Amino acid sequence: MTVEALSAALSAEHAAVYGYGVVGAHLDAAGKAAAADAENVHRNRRDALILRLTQEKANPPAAAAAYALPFAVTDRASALKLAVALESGAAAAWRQAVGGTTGDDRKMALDALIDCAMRATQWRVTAGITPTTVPFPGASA
Amino acid sequence: MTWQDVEVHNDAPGSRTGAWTDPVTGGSTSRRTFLRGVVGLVGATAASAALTGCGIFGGGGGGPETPDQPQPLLDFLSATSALADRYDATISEIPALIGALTPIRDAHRAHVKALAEALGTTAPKSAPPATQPPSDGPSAMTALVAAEKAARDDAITACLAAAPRYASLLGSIAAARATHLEVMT
Repeated sequence: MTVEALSAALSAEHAAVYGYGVVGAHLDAAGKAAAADAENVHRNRRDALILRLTQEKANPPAAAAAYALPFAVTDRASALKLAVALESGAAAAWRQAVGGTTGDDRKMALDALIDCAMRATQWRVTAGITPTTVPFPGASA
Repeated sequence: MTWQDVEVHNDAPGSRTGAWTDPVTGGSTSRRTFLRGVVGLVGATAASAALTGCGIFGGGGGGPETPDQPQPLLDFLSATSALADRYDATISEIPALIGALTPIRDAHRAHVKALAEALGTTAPKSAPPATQPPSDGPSAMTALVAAEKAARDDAITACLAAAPRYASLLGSIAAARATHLEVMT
């Protein structure tokens, strides 16, 4: 259960790391800095997951060479929308991981879920998307 | 358990990458995986997580036939309802805050409903809070932020201590409270 839940989270983190490269390219200096900060957080979580799954003698899922975006990202608005989508997607994976883990693994998953939810809210505020919060972060709508 | 469930359960993460190979560029050197596919994978894992939980605990999903109402979670439910009541009282005391506070109050009420359902119990009735909220906006907000912070920390504690079948819901509630603080401060 732990391996399955954390592997799904790792796949989402791979996608987020890739996606933030696209997001940053369409933002101004402040936006680029926020995207770089988020990318860094996802990269660190990705690395922690690879380490954790290796400890479990599991085969961590690799990143794809490239990811097709869920919609065309051509400007600031679509880039911010993608950032929200990346955090929401990662939050969904981590929410599942919270229920599929115990102890320190659950703590890691919960910390990640909270961070993803907060970043999604920050991006919605930046983009002027309302509502800025959702009642159940990570749960399918 | 239906055959579809079995199908979903067997979709181990990482085993389906081939299914996402872009039919257009699949023959070329670069493999393309859809972000959408990752979201789909998460959905499939959600279903299998529920099934595995089922298998481990053997008692089904904790429906009305198998009441399992741990006292700490019943207390958490009462506290969540009381938190929503504080928002109600503040909104009625200071109508200028209605726009800022209503979505958060609604989220707390949604949490009450989801918790009551998960625990197989009825939602507590809303009631006026024990202490009257401050009558000026800044003090009222300060009081609510403090309450929201404490509630976020309680949700984190509850999530980390809970049985697996309650953990995801409690995790979402903790995350929601963290986002409330994000927009309140």
